[in-house]
Amino acid sequence: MFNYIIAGLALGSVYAIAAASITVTYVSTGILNFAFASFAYFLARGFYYLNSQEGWPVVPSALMVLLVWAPGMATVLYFAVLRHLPRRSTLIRIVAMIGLFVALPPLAVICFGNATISVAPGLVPQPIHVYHIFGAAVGLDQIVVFAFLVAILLIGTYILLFTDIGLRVRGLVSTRALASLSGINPGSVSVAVWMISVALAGLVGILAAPTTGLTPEGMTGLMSAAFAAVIAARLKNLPIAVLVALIMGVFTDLVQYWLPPDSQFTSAVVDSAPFIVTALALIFFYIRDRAVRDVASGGALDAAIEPQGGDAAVAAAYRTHAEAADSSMFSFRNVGSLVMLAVVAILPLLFTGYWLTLVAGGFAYGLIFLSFTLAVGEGGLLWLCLISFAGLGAIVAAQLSTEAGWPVLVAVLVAAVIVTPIGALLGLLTIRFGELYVALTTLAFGLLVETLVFTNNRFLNGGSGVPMSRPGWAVDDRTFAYLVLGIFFLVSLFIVNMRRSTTGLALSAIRRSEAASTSVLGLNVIGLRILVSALATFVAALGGGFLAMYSLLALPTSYTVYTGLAWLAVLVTIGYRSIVAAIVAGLAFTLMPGIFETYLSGSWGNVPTLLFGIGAIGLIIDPDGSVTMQARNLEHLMYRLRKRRQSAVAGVAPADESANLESSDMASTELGGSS
Amino acid sequence: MTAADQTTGRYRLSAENVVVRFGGVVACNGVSLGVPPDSTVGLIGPNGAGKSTLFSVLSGLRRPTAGRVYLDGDDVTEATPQARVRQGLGRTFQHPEVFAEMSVREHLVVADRVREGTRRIWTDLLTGRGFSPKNPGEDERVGSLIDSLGLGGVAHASVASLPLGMLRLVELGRALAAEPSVLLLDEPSSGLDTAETADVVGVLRRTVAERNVSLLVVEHDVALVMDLCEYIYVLDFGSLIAQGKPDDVRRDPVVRSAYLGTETEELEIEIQPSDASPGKETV
Repeated sequence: MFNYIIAGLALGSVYAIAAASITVTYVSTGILNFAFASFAYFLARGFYYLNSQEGWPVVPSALMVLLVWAPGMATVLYFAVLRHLPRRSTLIRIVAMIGLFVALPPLAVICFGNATISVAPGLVPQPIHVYHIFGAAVGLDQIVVFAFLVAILLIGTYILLFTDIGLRVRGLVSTRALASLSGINPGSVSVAVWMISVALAGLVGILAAPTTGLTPEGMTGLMSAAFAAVIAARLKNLPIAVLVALIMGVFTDLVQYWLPPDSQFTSAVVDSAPFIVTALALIFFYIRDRAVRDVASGGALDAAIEPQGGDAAVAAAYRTHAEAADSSMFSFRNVGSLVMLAVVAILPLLFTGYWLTLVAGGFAYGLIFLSFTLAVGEGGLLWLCLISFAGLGAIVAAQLSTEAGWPVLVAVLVAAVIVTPIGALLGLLTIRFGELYVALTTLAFGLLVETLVFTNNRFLNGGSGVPMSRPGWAVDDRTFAYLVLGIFFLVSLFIVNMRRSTTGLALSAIRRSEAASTSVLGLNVIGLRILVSALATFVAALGGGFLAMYSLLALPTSYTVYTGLAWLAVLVTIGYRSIVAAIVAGLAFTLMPGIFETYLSGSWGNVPTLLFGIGAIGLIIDPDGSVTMQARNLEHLMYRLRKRRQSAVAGVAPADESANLESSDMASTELGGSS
Repeated sequence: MTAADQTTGRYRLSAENVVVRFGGVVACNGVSLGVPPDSTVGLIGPNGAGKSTLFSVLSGLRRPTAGRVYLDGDDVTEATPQARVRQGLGRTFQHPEVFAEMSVREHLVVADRVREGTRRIWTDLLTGRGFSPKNPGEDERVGSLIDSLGLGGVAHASVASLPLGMLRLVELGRALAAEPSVLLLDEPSSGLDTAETADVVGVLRRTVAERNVSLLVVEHDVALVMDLCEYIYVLDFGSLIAQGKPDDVRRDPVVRSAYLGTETEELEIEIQPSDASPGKETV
């Protein structure tokens, strides 16, 4: 048993370093490092490149990666991305970090190649020397991990409590604005924090790679355990984060001691540990506080200079008077959207073969992306597990159609109905959670479904998945594409109706101010949140079924959380509140890789994912997505031209030509100049 | 305040012996007050007196540790905020709580529609009302309210682009669109300049006169409260230390020493009616 505890402490120490890094970064900068796993993967991959591919010795490789590359990377990313985030809304912060999460792994492949890595090197030479302490076997690698944790905690505590730098960091944590007014440069402190944070991510990646595997998915699993500890620490209590991480590590190994090591149940318990810890912590917080709100970073002055209403307000400030006034069916916006949809609708007629297949797939992805439009765009719920509902929809539909012999369209519809209550329940359980906790909880839920349900051999079928057919009258890609497009239009009409109706206004109200929605309008917040959760789940599951029909296969491993984050990145790049953007994003998701693979060399294959990640990061600049923002700019231009023409006809100078720009400028001033 | 007061319709909104404790801190200590029909009542007190806590209790955002709240004679102590809204209670906030993505008009439309029937929130989804032509009645009601608030020029502007004074009018309009019988106003002049304050006061006077609405106003601007309200309650450290007509409160020695301070000469200047001194002499 002692051996298991030692092994558990080693695993827990890796979790603890990750949790400590994430906690300190959050407390110091207000940003939860959703890209931690990708930082870990990128730098561990870099270490492998130097050590195994270039033949550098272990120590120089580690020093180069952790003391040169990591700080350099942090500095570049800080000035390019991270420095903009503290003044952005929680949604934008999370999505931008997810953009980094998505962009870094393909960047690693571009930088270091796509060599297949069967065994990742650690910091300890092979074979690992084993010591016997009190009768227990302790490997040198485990001792190294313990030593790093102890050293990091001791040095970190000393720096924070007894040095000038620590004083500055603590000042910045209390109030960024006041620290600035006291002569502390928040930028230099923040960049230092990010340097350390990225270096620790690299260290975690190098230490964990021999056991978790040098893959983005392996690092994501590790990050989920670290996040569970961070949630238990309420995002800010470092000692509790470290303690919970250590306990999780020991628990994980002791479970394998107490239960049969090769049983599926043992594996399920081990895989569920992060979700169990997350759930227990959130239940405890909820019972104690009646809600689990995000922890506000900074002080009163920081809050006072924040833009009221966040980025949504900044984006809303760009709404032109013309746009707001012209809400008729034939407004520029609506006509533009219809033209775009018409162009999309003729695509299956223009393409054949490989490209037609990609277009049909793009439509299926577009249908799934409408679930993001509903959850994130309409409900303001940053759900990171919608792909899990798509996966559940696919595997249930496959069971009903292939195993039970139901007609496939009926199977897909019934599967979506079956999955919907799960989403409604998740919506109910997270109703009193802040945005950050909703994101973290749904991430943990997605990983739980991935490890508990998607690994079940009934669905996995030995890794080949369950076959799925298309309706007999829509077997060819063109007919199938129109079938999916028809469903997409139906769901879109439903969403447009919702948006233009009382329901949409009520959802918009709840998204911006729950207090005013209940105590001024008398809205039923719980009912509306459950409604939008259920609708988003239904659409995701429906889309999952159609995606399985498209690929003629329901393969659970196609619906990993990692892939889901890439989907989110694609959608937000185009625009997460626009229906047209959903189908354009779907087409981009299939056509862009197709174009790169067809017309460019193989090494370019990862560029589309990299671009999607960068696009998500671009939300910092365009809170509604780049395409939506460009459409808005075009609309503004049309409005100005129309005004100028009207003025010319009337024979007067265009008096209000720059009214909208002034309006936006005014908004900038009112909102703290953050736009 | 007697039980008969609650049931005979003397008050539209009343609180009876409300106690709110946060751990060992008593934020409200047995506070009772009442808002008669068609009247404007003020609630004043220094920072930390418990005004905002009492407002939260009245609007249902916080449950009292003890005491009761009555709305039009009904005990609504256990009722949710939305139930109180449906029963005729409205409110505004000290820091305007607006829906940042909506236009001014949309703020009033959503309140109007919810008043017309909360079922529409659910039925609109299935009936395709989003594609229906505009409702002329709704247009007229909302348009008229927008005009009466002087917001016609910015009706289609996003609230994100509006200055604070207009945001307060938008909040007020949204509350009025729900046609409340009692309106709670939390610091309606906070952060406003003299002209904006005058605008808000004008709207409030018209509201009481034309819409048959009772107001309960929490305000730091003592001159404004003395000028606007017919009856005033004074809170200090969670307890009610005085109540009465503005002149009585102005002369009350307890109020002078506990709330306004002991410097009588300064006090005379501070609480001049706002017509004489419309500035922001906040204590």
